[in-house]
Amino acid sequence: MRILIIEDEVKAAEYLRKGFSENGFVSDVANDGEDGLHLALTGDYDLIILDVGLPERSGWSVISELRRKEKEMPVLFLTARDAVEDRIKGLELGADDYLVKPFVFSELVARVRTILRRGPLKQPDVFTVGDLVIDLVRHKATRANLRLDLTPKEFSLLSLLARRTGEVVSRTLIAEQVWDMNFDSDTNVVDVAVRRLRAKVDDPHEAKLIHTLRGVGYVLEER
Amino acid sequence: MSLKSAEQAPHAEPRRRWSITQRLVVTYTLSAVAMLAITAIFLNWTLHSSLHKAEQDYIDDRIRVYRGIIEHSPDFLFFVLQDIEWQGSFVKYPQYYARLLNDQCHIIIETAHMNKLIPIEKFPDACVTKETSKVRPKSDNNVVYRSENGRSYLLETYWTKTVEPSQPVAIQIAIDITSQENIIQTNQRQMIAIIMAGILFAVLFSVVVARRVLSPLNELAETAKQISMDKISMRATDPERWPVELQTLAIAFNEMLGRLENSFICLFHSAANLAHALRTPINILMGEAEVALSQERSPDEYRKVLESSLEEHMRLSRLIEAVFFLSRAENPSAAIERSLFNPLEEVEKVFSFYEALAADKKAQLTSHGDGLVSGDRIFIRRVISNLVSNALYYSTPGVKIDITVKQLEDNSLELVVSDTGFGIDDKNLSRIFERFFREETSNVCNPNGSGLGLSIVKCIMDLHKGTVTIQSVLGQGTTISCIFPPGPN
Repeated sequence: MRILIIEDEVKAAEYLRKGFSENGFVSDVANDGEDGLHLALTGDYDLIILDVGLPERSGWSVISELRRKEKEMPVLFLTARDAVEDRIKGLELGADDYLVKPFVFSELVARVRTILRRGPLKQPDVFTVGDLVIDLVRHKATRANLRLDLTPKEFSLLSLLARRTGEVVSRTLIAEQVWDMNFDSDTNVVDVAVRRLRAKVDDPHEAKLIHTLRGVGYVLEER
Repeated sequence: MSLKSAEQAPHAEPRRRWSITQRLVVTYTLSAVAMLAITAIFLNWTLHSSLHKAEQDYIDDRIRVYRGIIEHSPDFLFFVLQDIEWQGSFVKYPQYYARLLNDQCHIIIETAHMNKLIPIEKFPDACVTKETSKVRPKSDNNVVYRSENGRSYLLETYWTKTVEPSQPVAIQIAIDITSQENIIQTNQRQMIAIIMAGILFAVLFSVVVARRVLSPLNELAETAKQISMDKISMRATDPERWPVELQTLAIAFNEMLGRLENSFICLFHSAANLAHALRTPINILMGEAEVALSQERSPDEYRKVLESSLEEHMRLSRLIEAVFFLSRAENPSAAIERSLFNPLEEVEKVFSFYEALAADKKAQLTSHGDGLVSGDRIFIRRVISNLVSNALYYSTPGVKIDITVKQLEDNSLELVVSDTGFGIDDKNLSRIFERFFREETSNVCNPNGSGLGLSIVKCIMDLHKGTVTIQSVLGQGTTISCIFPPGPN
């Protein structure tokens, strides 16, 4: 998977490149709009991460030019501008997603994965992580064949982590997906909720499945 | 609509506008002139008509005397001659001239020099036929004639008949009205002089009055000119001594300055508070990094430093988001996406979000009532979330938090969040919605709090044109009431 990062802040571009390569992506960096457009037109990229405010040529202009030349690779906008009109403009120009700075890197990786995974991919109904089995259809979870007594919200939290097994899920995303709290909400509440979930899922067992990445989020996996 | 009218205004501008002083002077002068003119015209007319009546009476009197002589005495010529001679020969300007004409319109007798001064044909009905003269013995119209010697005469003709033999005779009387005319003219000149003086007086007087009346406005303008950021506490002095109309203006002006001053103070405070709020995480970040780099450490130690720094960065990021939200929401053109819904739906959502935290704290979350609110769902969710969060953090375990929703009579919706928490000190209540304001103890309860939660609540209520009020008793709890007015439809 090749990703092109068009970002004028050198430090930001560098940490993005590093982060993506550690997550199994190959990435190239362009520091201005012209270079970025040139690379995007000539190279073969699976996805472009595009900043809006760029020297030489703005992000808006880069994407319009790409779409005009019928380059249909997915584009994810990164920007410090978060007015609703800006989001709409980005999406209208043909962007696939939009992330406002500052963001959590794991969130960006998750979104990139989602975009690249898009298409006719069938989600399984049952997830298995170690001896934990989550059945989305029958709405029940078992660990070591013992049924877990979960509240509806705890179940949807667990299934969110299960659907992204091995990925870090940020607290913001959890608040958004599980409780529909799509504004800056108190992430401490998420910590408490995860702690209570953990008490039911992990505490009785030797092998822990829910792991904390302090300051980032949570990941469900067998270690 | 309002935009359109604002654009049209500059087009109307070129029309020259009169100053208030000019308007007052013109109005005052015009009314003074009108009053004086009416008075003058009336007086002049009265004088004119009374003088005219005196002249008329005199001329009628003369004619009556002549008629008496002519109609009763066959020797009328003798008497008339005597009378005429008295007037004509010894008086330089006789009071009246008289002339008798026969039916052929020939002079029978007249006052000396009369023919030269006042010819026959200048008289009304001078020479008419016998038939007409019988019908109209007295002419209707008197004529004023200005003779060549510069004097004015009132002329009248009267037809009558002599006795034995009965012959038609016309009596023509001309009375000298020069002095009366002079009186009227003098009177007119005086009146015009009075009007002129009146105009002058009215102009001067109204200029002085207008200047005096408007002087507080200049004072107000002077005050306004002097006001700047560092002199924001200046006010118009003693508006009580001003005229009532301007008093309201001055008081409103002072009140506006008061509000501005408050906003400025708030702005200074919140800028200082923002700097303070930024200082804490940045201080931690700098210190931790510096200490970490001061010597070689194990990867695990580096990891801990990085994790801690990430937490501080998240705190900064949340702070930025909140400040951004407030500044955007404060933009007067900020719009909300209204829909009509039952706020209890959102209350349930928020409760489920805080479920875990509440369980940890053994808090009881309850909700009551029913109703519909017109507003932005996500914003209202945020209001409820911030209020519940405060209630959970600033309370002891076992706190009772209740949300009651009620439709008021005017169709507004009241949402009341009450808790049995710590309560807020009276002295802090007035500042509680201020940005970054936190009670001294609040950092212990919620170290991640930004001090913006209630500011955001206030801001969202302002966006909905609603109100938020707070009541609190220290040690007993806090009740916050949000009233959302009915939607525009």
